[in-house]
Amino acid sequence: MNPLAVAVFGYLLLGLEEALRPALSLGETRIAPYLVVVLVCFVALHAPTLAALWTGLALGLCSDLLAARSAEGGAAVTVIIGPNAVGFLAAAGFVVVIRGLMMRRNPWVMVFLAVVGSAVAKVAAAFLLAVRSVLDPAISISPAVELTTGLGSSLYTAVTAAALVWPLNRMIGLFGFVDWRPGRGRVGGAARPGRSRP
Amino acid sequence: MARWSHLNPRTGLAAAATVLALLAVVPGRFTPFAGWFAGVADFVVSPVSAPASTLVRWLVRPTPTRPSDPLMAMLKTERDQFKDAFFRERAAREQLQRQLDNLSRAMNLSPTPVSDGQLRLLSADVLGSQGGGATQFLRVRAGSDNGLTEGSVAVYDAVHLVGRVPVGGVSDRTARVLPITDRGMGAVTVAVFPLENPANPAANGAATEAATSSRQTPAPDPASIRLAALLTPDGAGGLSGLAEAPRQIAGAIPPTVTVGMVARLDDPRWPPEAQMLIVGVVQSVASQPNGRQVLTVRPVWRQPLAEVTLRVTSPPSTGQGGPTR
Repeated sequence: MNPLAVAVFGYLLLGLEEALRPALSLGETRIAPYLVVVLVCFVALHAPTLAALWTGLALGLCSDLLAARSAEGGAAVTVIIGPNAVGFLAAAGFVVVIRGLMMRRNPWVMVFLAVVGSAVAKVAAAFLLAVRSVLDPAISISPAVELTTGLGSSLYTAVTAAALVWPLNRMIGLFGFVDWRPGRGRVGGAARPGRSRP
Repeated sequence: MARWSHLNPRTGLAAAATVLALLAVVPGRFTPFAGWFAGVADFVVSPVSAPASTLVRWLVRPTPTRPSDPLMAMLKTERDQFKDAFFRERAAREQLQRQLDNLSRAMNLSPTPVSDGQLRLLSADVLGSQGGGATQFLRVRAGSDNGLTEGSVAVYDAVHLVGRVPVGGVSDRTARVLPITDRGMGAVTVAVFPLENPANPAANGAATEAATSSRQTPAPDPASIRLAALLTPDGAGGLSGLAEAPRQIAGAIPPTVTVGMVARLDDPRWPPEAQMLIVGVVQSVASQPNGRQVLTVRPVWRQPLAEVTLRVTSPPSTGQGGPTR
């Protein structure tokens, strides 16, 4: 896998997600589609297991750093490191586990995985935030609201996944994925017999 | 480099995940470095997010800052500002009166109303929204370089409360404003004035007549009738909550809240300069079996906002200050 390509795409999607989420929100709710988790699922679908998991962790950590939250009844702002990192890691792990059952070049598979993967990520994040809200009452977090917002946003992510799957599949050669199945060679390029990866 | 080369990636991944899971649940005082890293991440991502936000604001028409007719806009703003000042002064007067009654010998406990000399106004562009999960902050182009301080209040069109700048929400050139409609804001106490009902003048007249027709007891000042309500953000751009039970006034119809009334902030947890700012207009009222009323209040402003005005009370830092635009 080409980490530079993943980093560049991740950087672009983090910025775009921050800019587009308010505009794409459903009415006055906070339900808006995710972009970064689509990339996480895309990488997890094609990359070696460890690379996929590290990608999820890193992009989740970046997402955490950009996700300011309110504390002390709106009187303070705080940044919680970890929920999205662990959540994206869980999403990547989920995709890695079930990718063997998927037709990976089918665009609908990517849409499905993005929706389910982001739901897994948000459930994991909501669990950690629930624990945090018990241990740290100063934080203004309602785990139920986080969960419903996250699951609603996960469904909405189908839209962004459908929009992103075509360009991602077109540029899959840039990512330098090597098929994790023996003897399949490079994904998006010519097969190279003899090169395998466990 | 060689020292790290033998580190098992699986072990490293497990260790990193464990550390991050722990950081996610420990209280904020154990992660004081998070804010600094967040600032760096914000700075790094801004070359992508800022142009995209500008494009989005260009495509999605923000709430107009002023009505189309300039004369009407000026008159309306002046009227609202006078109302705002009137209610704020009256609230301060009532509070002083209460304190005088209760603590007549403790004069130094009286609150200090905001004087115009202390209040500075900063006009700031809204750069976009930012936040995670159910919380979304407004990011505005004003920061400590402009003299903005934590706890400052953001308003729209001079008197409509938008939110406030939380602790830790100010950087050099930008700041975060937590909207009053955000779930992270928590509950706020508002005062609803039955006499201030632009949608139903007949109700105003009835209330005035009822209040002044009392012959058994001295008629209460009609302008002093108000109902408090504790409102919490409903997650749909409004606030809702219970209004207090109306006090029984002898010979008078108890005041009730009706649609169209104006809700103003009356919460001691907010700074003095925010008191009596308009939170919103009562959109719906539902009565409970016990007579209490459940209100839904919606602010006049809607997101996305193009700009806000920040009310800063603390003295400006030396050599700084002034409007940002």
